[in-house]
Amino acid sequence: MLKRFLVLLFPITAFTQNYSILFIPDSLQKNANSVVRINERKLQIKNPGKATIKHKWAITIFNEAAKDNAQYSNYYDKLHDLSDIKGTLYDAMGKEIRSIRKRDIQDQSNDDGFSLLTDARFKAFTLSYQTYPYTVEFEDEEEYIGLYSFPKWYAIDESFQSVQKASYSVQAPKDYMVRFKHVNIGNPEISEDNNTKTYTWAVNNLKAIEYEIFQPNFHELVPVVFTGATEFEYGGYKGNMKSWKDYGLFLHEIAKGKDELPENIKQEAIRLTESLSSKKEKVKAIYNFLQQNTRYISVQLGIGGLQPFDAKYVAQKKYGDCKALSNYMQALLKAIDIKSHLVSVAAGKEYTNALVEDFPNHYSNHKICCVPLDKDTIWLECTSQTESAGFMGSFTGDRKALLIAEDGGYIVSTPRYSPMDNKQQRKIIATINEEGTLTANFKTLFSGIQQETAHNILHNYSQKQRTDYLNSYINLPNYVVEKNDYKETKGSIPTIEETLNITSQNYATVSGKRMFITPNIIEKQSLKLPTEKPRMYDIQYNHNFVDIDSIEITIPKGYTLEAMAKDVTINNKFGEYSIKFSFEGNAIKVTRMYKRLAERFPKTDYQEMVKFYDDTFKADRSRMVFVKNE
Amino acid sequence: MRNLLTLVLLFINVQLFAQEKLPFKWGKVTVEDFNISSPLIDSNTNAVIIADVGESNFILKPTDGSLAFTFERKVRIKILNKNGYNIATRSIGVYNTTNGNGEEKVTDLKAQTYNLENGKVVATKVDGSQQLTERMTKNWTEKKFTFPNISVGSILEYSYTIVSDFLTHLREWKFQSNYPTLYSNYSVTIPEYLNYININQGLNLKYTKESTTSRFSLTQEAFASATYHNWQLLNVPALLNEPFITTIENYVTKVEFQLQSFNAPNRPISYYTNSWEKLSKELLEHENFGLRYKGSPNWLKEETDKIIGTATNKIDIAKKCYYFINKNFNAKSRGMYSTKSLKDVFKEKNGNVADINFLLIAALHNYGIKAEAVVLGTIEMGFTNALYPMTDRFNYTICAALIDSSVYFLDAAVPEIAFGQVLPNCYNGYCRIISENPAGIELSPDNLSEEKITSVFIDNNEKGDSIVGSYSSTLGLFESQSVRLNLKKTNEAETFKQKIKAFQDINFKAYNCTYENKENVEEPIIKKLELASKFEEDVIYFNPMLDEGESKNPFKSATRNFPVEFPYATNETYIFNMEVPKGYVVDELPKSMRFKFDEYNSMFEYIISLKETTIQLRSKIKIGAATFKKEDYENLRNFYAAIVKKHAEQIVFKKIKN
Repeated sequence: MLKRFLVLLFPITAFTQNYSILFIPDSLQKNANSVVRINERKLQIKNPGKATIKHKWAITIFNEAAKDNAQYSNYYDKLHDLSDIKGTLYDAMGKEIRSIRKRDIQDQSNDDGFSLLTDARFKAFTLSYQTYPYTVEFEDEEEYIGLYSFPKWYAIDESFQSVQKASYSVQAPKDYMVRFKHVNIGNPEISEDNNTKTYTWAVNNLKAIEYEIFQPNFHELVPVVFTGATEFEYGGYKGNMKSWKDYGLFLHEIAKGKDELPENIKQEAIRLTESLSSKKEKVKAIYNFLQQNTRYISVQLGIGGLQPFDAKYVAQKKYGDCKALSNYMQALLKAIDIKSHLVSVAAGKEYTNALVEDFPNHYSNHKICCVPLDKDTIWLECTSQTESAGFMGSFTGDRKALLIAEDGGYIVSTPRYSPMDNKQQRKIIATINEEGTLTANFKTLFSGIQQETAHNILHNYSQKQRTDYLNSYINLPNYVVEKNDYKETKGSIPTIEETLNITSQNYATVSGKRMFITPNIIEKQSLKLPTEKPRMYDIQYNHNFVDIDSIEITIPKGYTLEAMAKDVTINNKFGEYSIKFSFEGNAIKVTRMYKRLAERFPKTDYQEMVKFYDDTFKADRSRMVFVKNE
Repeated sequence: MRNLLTLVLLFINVQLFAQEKLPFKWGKVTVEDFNISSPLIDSNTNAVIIADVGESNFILKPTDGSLAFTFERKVRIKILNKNGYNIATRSIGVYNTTNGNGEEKVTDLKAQTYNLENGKVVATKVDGSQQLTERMTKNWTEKKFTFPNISVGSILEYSYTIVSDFLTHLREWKFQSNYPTLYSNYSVTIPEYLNYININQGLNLKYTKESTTSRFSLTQEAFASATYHNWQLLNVPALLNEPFITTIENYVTKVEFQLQSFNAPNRPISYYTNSWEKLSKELLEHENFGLRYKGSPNWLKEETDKIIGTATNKIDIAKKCYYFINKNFNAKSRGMYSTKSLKDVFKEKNGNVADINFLLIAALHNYGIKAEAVVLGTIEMGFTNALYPMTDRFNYTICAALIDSSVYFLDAAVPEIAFGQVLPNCYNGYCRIISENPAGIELSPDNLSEEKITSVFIDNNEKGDSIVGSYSSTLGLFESQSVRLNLKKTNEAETFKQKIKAFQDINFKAYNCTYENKENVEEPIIKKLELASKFEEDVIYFNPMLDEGESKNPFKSATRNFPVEFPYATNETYIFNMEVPKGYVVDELPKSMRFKFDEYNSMFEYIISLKETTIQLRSKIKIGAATFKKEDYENLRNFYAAIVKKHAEQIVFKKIKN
């Protein structure tokens, strides 16, 4: 009896500080696959050359969808050390099941599959468990050799995850100015001792964020703190990040003297361009030379993550990474007295808003080359052997970037593309025979961002891969692409004309005396928006574009129209849409247009948006039915 | 062993006349060498391997006199277009142990790019600073380099030697890759002390063997002869993947080696895994295999006694043990060998596949149930060999239990499957029961069938203004498992969302969605929902398959190089019963059809009829085999085309005019 009492009593005191799920408020379990129980990150800046981050976090995982949270993984390299890794697994009641031992931690190369070599490595292990819910607790310590950039602190890291308690603190010497920008969260609490000052942000009980289609960027929805260095030392260089100008000076400094070319290459650059009159022509000729004579190979070692290889090296080996190739381009242009700049940019579709203009910091993952001319500016992607001079596309277009000049850094905007720039215009001439087989000629003109897929098919696919691709991605029954052809017109808005000859068996369904035809052959709205739950966030569209289709289908003689497809025109803020059908003689004609602008709408517009998608979904699939004359 | 060995080593080159000679000299590239033509090269060829030549020899290492092998490889490549630039970055992998028991090293790496510039051949070397060594994992290191100064038309040549202490890792040779290979040759000289078997697959190789004048000595007293083997294949097409293949590895042309024994003079003979009997015996005595589950651990019995309760018959006990382990233990990875003690597995509630199934075996032994381990290779590992135990092909251990004279294959490591069920990826042909009397068994995907029955009943409602119906689908065992796993991640509503949407698209409202047998893994999942719709137009076009029909032919390509391999046979039946909607008559009905594919015990039927006011349809697709020969590809493709066509057909209802 006594024994039983002990068992019952003891846990009450012992468990109050623990991870039992009983301590999770109901409000945090709603829409959550996991709950962050505690997440403490402490950044300690020692001096401009050194900082440490101590991180401790614990997450209760409710189901398999959140299983990834049981995985620990962090990187290290020569300028970023990782130590004191701990991991412990607890059951639902907060009872410890096991802790990680040193031999459980995997140590692996961060080989990304395309870098020739990187010194970044990973330490990783998992604490996943069969019985849900369970809690995982991790700790580690990172050491930064050089204060170059600090991770952003997000109070919530992912959708469908709530947070019980999280905090971020930064301690720095009193004489070291550290910079902050905080979004969706108030001012920090500040405490001081003799030598240091500490800034702390803390949050409690944040509800889970649900994923919604066309959601604004995640960092707009949650509390975020950006931390920036002022003075820093990195890989043997000194710099300051307090302004874009200063940061640009540092980037200029580390690339200095790297633009010497071998004499023969210099002469080659001059020879290639001396007969050309305009600067624009010259830049294009040099860019073409670069594309013909180099390829992209990534090498990431220490400060090599920031500093370009010598232009001489690239001239000799004919390869380099984005920095080395952009620097080489700059050197080639210098040889013919054209001034250009390296530009640091956050590349990738998901990073259009990564750079925060009023907070100088390291945001980039890529470098490009920018050539300011009298009337316009030419932007060059130096890692591609096939891109048009001046075209940035969805990879680096439409965003802020940091231009590097002798007198420091400047924020610039890369080109933005209008709906007409990103156009897809298609004409289809087709016939359908008695068996329902469709034989069609598709002629499509893609431009701007809409030509990127075709660009890839044209340049990076062999004829067989192209045929395989074309024979799998089009949404048609039993079809074969019998002929394909691509014609590219280079330019700052490149266009590609694609011609396809397609046959599709049973495109029309022939059932007894009737024939069923969906006359809008391929360009179909494929989305239906969920309506089960009220919309939580604003609606964000990212690209401008316009699609224009015209279709003509000849059907066999001797059929009478039984059911006609209806014309639909919608003109609202979510886009302009119209589809029109006609049938004359034995020919069906369809015209379709859909235009969408990159804009933002309040969440109250959502119901209207649902209707727009439902209506266009239906209109695009309208069917016509014909009966064979007897 | 080292004491026995001295540094006497003699080789005499063997001249070979039977094989085609290399059409050029290594290290010397002439202007003519840039002219490569071959019927294998077309507009799809990004690069061509002009020659790939390998040679393995055994040596006594000068440092300590121990026996090792060298693997020397020379490769010449030509880049044909820019998409072939990828081939210019190479990596060479070697094994390493962490306990200091032997090593592998790459030596003599030489690589040069040759370009034709103004009619002259210009060479550029990969210098030492461009050769990089990277430790990928604990046991695997890669040496990487990229050729400099490449352009379309460049010839790349490289050579290297691996020196290896691991006699069991005598290098295999692949004659085929993503690029066509014009000349591929591999030779191996094996001293008589070493007994390897070689296993070939794929295209027919030209093979010569000479029992030779070369002599190889391990001791000064006893010289021994060696055998020179040579395999050659010319004009090998590129190997391209196709859908519905278990693994392309099964079709690559290659030779592999398996060390059987090492029988040096003056030392005891050492056997490697030369027979199943021997492997079986070794495994039973292995600390990470048989010894793990040997004996009947009492602590485990104390734990399992709690869940066995009053059950007395063996099958009930076995099931209870199985479900207890299956529900509570989490497999982190595959594996044929265990990674830790049963006690640790139990305490930490996880382990690899072997750990968890060993726990099951031990638990069954405690109750006097006969249970043995079964080693197998999952399908990704490629075919296994019935004659020779190629242990590196095995990556999985399950349990075979003999209860009341029936054998049950049990895999406690996979969640949400029933007692006696093993996942399709384990059905990879030959595998082996490890016991005192080891037995070979065949887990063939042809013997695995996934059966599904769906039925739909639609009637007029009482008022006669709408149609209402019920839908019920009894899933196959593997689909049931995947639904159960999905339900663990989300919930029923989320899982049903797609189905509801699909019905919406054909103007049906779907509601009251449920899954039956969610908890009872021994029964298939039954998916149920109710339907309602309203007909208003004068003419209604209605597909009786609803959204259950085959809408796409899975076989797009008109041609096929390899057999078609499905994970299992299938049998899907769809039954549809509908009362003609009130106020309408049937104007047109699709025609019934039957399509048989007897060689594979396969068939498709679509039988539809109208009796008074009831439409009845039965559609049945039976794929009676898991593997179809490539010669029958066209028939299989037509078979699916016929199904897709039939499943698109519509019933036409017309409103009765007053």
